[in-house]
Amino acid sequence: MDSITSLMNEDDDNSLLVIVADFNIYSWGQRAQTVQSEGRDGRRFPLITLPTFIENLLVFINAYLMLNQENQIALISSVIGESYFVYPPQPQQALTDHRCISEQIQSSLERINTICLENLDKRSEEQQQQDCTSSFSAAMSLALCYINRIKKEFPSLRARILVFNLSPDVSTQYIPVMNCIFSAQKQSIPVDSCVLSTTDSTFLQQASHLTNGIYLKPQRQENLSQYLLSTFLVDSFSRNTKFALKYDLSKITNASATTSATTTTTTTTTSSTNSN
Amino acid sequence: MIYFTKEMMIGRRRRGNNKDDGYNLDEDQDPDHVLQLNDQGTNKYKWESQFERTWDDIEEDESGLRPSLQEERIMRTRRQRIDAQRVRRGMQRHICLIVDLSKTLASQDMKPSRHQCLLNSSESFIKEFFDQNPISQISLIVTKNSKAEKLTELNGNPNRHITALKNTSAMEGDPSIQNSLEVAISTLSHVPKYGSREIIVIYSSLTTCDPGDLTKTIEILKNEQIRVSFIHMAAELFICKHISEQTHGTMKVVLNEEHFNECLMLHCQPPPTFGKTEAALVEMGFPQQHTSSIPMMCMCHEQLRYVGYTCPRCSSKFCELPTDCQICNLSLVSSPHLARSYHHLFQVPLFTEINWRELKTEISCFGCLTVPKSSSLFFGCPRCKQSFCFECDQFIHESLHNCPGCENNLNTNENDVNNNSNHSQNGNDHGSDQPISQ
Repeated sequence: MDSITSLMNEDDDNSLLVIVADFNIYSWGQRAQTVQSEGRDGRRFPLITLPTFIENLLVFINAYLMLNQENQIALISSVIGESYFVYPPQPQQALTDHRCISEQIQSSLERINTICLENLDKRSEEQQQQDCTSSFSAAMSLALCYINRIKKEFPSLRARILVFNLSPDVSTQYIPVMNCIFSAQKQSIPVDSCVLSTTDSTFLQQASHLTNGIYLKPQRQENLSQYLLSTFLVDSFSRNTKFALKYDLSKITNASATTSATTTTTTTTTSSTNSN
Repeated sequence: MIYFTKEMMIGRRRRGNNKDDGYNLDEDQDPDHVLQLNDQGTNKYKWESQFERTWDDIEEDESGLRPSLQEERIMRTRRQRIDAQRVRRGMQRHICLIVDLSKTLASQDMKPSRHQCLLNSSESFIKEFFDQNPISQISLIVTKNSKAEKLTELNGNPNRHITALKNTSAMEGDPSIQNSLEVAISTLSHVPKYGSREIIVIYSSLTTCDPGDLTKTIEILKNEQIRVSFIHMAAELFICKHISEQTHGTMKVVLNEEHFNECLMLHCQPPPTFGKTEAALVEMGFPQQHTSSIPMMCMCHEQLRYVGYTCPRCSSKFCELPTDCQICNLSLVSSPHLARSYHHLFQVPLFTEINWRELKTEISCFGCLTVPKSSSLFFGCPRCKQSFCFECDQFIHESLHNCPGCENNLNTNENDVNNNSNHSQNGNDHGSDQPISQ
């Protein structure tokens, strides 16, 4: 037991989580037409809508911030042709805003929601064919730049990236995305991905495989917050299966169930990764 | 004694207070600080740290800018200037790393000794090299006692080279340039034409002990299109300079330990190809990873394993990629290995400095939202006009190889012809699936 406590003291378990969320109006709008996803056994499950997604995301963010007082968070929104920080706000705004983190995030997410819903109605059919791709590579680049800065300020911090993806992969972004993945891999930043579309994303499969992150495509999206809490809340240190085995934490059935689930998801990604 | 501990406490407390100000090189150079931040970000006492030649830095500082940063910047500018235009580079490189292990390595002009410096730098170089050029190969050749000896055959496993170099005895006799070049030529002459052939010589001695005429060796090198680059740890020798000039290589003389490291690291980037290079189709296999229910023998270690990659042509099993199939000689890679060397071909443009003090609007770093402080430097991307702090600029060019601002503009610029030409320079339009439309 002594060794556990010494390990705990050695590694401060405060962490930085950068969430990259896809708020592409076009992709969310397209989902509204196909409301249901087909499960493995042919059963149909409803797809999550934008307002419920934002609610679930807020639950997750609050839970994460409550885990540790020193936990830090950043939220990047990637929309059509642009990516920007939702939290932390731009430095000029930050001076005037004195609310707590979760309130700030909540208000900005609600703003995104209303903007999305407004634009969704305005958007014409012809436009949709042309520029409807999210700038995922830009969002990843921003996330890595931000992590690079925070790591200089707090060297002991453990950073990871969580990507919520919806839009299909864009082949023109292949090189920039791979650059991001290699940069994350070099700094050992895990990239976790949660895919909400009905098809798998090869970019994110590669990203999670190469950086030892988790790739998850939830089957029953109405229970998204449960998926998030059980899979993505665990920090990278606690995920280490070696640690779990060494100190015999597998007695707790829940913990072992999640670890086995993660290993299966990662192995399934590898086969498709190499076929590219 | 008590005085010392008090002083140390003060130093520690100050560091704690400075936390909020951000990481700033300038503010760390307060002479009162006994505790200093070293490269790993841990505290270190002044008397534990390495000997600093501060006067070297001051000489460089003419424009009134901070010496250390300015120097770094000059280094980077120099590197980028050479490769500003789009050039053709050999992606599959075959390198013979010749290391001089003669008695001159015992010299202590580099701390702690030349030998130790050589081991450290070459270890980090080999790791970094394979990180950036995963489908390339290195062969290690050492020269001492007037002989040359091949330590490792051409292969792509960094650990094999590093352990081989560490386990050889050093500091014996004189080196021989000719012998080692001959060994390297015999190694590289079997390499297929499409791969670039290079020799990097890390030389320490001022003499060479050769059996014959070196000019004939140079002729062979030229005919075989082998590029020879020298890094000399002490001085510029005529013969080194001559060989490197004749074979399109570079000649560098090391100034200090850090400069040595930098000189080596410059070789991580593939040089532009010279002479006639024919485009050739190369056969490559992209094996799938399989987990079998019964363990199978792997071809590389001859051990029974569950997980492995199977060769698509002959179905033999291997533990790691990239490798050459030992049965059918197909080179096996995975797609990320190829993608990893793309950033050498499609580079981020060098950012220009912004004088933010004279701007009317307040700016912040686009990448990390930092606001400028009294002594900070800010840079602007010439393509997307976004501003970045020094840290981000460095990170973008050295690790990320993407400009976040340019990525943002990707879609909006696609219809613009002017920007489209920029695009193809960056290589972001991967393939020609988007015709330029006016």
